[in-house]
Amino acid sequence: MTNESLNTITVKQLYRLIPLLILPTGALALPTMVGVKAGNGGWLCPWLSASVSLVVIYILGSLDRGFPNQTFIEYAIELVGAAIGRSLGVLYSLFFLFSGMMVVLETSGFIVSTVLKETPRLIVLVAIYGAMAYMLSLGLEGIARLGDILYMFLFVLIVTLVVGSTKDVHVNALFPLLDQGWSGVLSGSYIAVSWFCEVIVAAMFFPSVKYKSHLRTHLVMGVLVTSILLSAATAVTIGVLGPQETARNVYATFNVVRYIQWGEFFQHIDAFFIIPWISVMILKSMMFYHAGVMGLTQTCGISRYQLLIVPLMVLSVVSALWLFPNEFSISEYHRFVFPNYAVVLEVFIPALLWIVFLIKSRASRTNR
Amino acid sequence: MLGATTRGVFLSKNVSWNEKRIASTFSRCDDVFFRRFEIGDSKQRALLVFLTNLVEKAIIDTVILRSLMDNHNKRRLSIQQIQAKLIPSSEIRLLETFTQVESAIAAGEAVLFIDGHPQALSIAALKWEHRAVEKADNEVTVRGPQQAFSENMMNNIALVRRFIFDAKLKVEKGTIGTVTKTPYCLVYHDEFIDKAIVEEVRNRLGRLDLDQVLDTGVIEQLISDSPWSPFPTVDYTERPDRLVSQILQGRVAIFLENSPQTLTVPALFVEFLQVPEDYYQGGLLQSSIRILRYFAFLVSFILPSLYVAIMGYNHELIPNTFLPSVLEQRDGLPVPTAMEVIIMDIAFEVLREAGLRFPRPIGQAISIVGALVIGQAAVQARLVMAATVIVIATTGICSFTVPGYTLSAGARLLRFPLLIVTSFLGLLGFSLGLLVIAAHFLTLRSFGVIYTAGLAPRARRDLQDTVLRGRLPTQSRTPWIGRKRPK
Repeated sequence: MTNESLNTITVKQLYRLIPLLILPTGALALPTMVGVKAGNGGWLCPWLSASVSLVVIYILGSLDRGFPNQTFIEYAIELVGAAIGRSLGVLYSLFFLFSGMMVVLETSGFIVSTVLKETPRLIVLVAIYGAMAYMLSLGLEGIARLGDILYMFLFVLIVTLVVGSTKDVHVNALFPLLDQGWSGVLSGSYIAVSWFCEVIVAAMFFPSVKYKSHLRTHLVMGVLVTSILLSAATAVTIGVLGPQETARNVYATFNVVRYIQWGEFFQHIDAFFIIPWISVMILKSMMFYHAGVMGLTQTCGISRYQLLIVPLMVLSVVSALWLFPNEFSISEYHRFVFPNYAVVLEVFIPALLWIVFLIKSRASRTNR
Repeated sequence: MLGATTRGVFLSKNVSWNEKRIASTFSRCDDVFFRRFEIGDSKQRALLVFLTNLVEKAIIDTVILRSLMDNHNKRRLSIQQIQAKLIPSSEIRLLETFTQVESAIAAGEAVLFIDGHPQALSIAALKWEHRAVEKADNEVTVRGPQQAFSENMMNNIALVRRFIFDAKLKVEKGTIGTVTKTPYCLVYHDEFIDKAIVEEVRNRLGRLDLDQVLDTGVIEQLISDSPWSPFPTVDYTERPDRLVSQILQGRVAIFLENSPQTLTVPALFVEFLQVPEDYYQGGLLQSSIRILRYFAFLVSFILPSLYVAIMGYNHELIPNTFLPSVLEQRDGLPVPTAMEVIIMDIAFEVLREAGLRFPRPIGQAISIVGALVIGQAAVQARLVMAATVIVIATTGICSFTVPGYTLSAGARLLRFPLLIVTSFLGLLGFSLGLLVIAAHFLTLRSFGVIYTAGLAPRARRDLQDTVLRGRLPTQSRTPWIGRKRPK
């Protein structure tokens, strides 16, 4: 316990970070999107996407066994050479940073539409990025330990959501099952894959894990827990609101929370939903930003990553306001742009790297 | 001293020369006394130098002067022989330099010079007035020992020795402060301590470059890992029983002369919410009280901000049963809720600070004034809401529930920035503020040990001693600071 070096995390903390990576924006946005595509089969989508992410976990686990003390970007540089490797490094760093910015934008969108209806977006963004600048300087240990606590809150939150809404669920809305056939569920899952395979962000944290026993087991457990929670939340949302209404609502899950009422006292618990939810979304974006900052420092060979934090925060505020001037552009991005290129970066490129790794290790074995 | 000539540093064989040198160092110190005499029949000239207000006259007269002057040996004795045979004092040291002699005289020892020998003997003769062992005023318990430390360091360490009858309790002495040369002691138990921590404490104390140290509070701020953090990483206590239990859990205690508060390092968050009485009373009762204390600590810095966030921004979050009463109170008030809470909070803090300084007879009257004027009159004049007054009062009471004063002071400090951020940004400000505080709190370390040890990580075994009060420790239980736990 004494003098543990900073920035090491345990496997259990990594396991808790997985739901915290996927659920915050997933639980808010997924029901809406799968409601559009999959109708009342939406609650099946997380399971299908989870199976894809299990494959990705297997790939990342094998790569990690081959390069135990290196992050994804570092061994990419080793595997495919400096030129392609560093370009991949820049690509992934930008991807992480950009995704982190999107999470913050979604957070600020959520806040502005529910809590602070008259505050200009600039103020909200500056506040969020200011807080994040301090928390990022605390390193991975800060993120992991915050994650320990917030995981509990997230779990309790979703369980409360599911349990509290049972009396409002119209079971008929969930049946008949798959009346639109599998095509809707499959296209819904395709969108959800981009969320579930965000485990690649966790691949940037693997070298910091101290005792890597059962790494893959923990990650798989994390994904399973996420799928259970997400599909339960989606099912409840579709059950309470019905598929069409879910598709129309921007924040469907939040509206379901508003309905929860047990007796005279336990009602209007939105505040107790908002506070942890904002915290969890900010933690998710912190993980993306941390991965992005680490990626940049590893690609460019910078010694201290703290130097990058403040400039990145300022740039992010500016980019957020300039690239996405209104809510519509954000939801458009999420619906049409993000799923497609995220799949490439999260699934295909790691798979290609893995194939290269297999070829090289087989070649080095035959050379002996 | 580097570069000093031999003649200037070391004592001379000539007693008169030594006397002149010491008289010039202690010039205008009219409480120093030079007693010239001859040692018995051998006619050896001797000189005794001491500070009259620090020494015990009986020791000077009987132990030193009588035993030397009554000596009927005609041979001239060496100083070692005098030390070995003639002076029946329990603590004697041999000194060779002027620096040592000056320190000894200033510390209340009697220094004996013998003509013809370039050494001196320093004989312990210290007696000074000090406060007796009294009841602990600042750390009150219902049950258990009630003694408290006083300003005399050696007496304080004696109180600790009376709890641990073991040679493994180590006492390391040192001085701090180049002008005051205040003695300090490090006390720890050899079996339970982590050697790295003691080494770190010695390093940090050795690096201090101070003129003066008047109290352990100064040392606390200077050796602390994060002196600007609202969460204290160094604890202090004035109760020997509490100190002993901390020493047995792998802490190092720092005693300072003239300071009744003893520091313990490293300090963890859970210690500030524990009281020795937890172990003297039953487990079920004290577990509940402990949980209450944790809850009160959280309330003491969250409640005003949560109140502002809900009342100021999201009125729909107020349960329906409270709504009519709240709306009625809110009607026609001049100031927005956030401003109200801030003003009342500042007024409460002013009252609290003033209460510390009032002379006792007026104290009662002031509390009545505070309650009437600020509470009752302000509400009746419809300047503030009654609910605001209730919230502020509850917050204040909860902050008194926290046993560790430094921690409750930190929570008081935290309340205001959180309140201000919440006033500007509502629930977002509240969440961000809590996140930042939590991130800071979770990554704090005290001398290398994680501040939240015992709560997180790997808390299951320790929860029974932190949040709850489980079975009393048996012999097989090892403390979790000193020894590494097996994985």
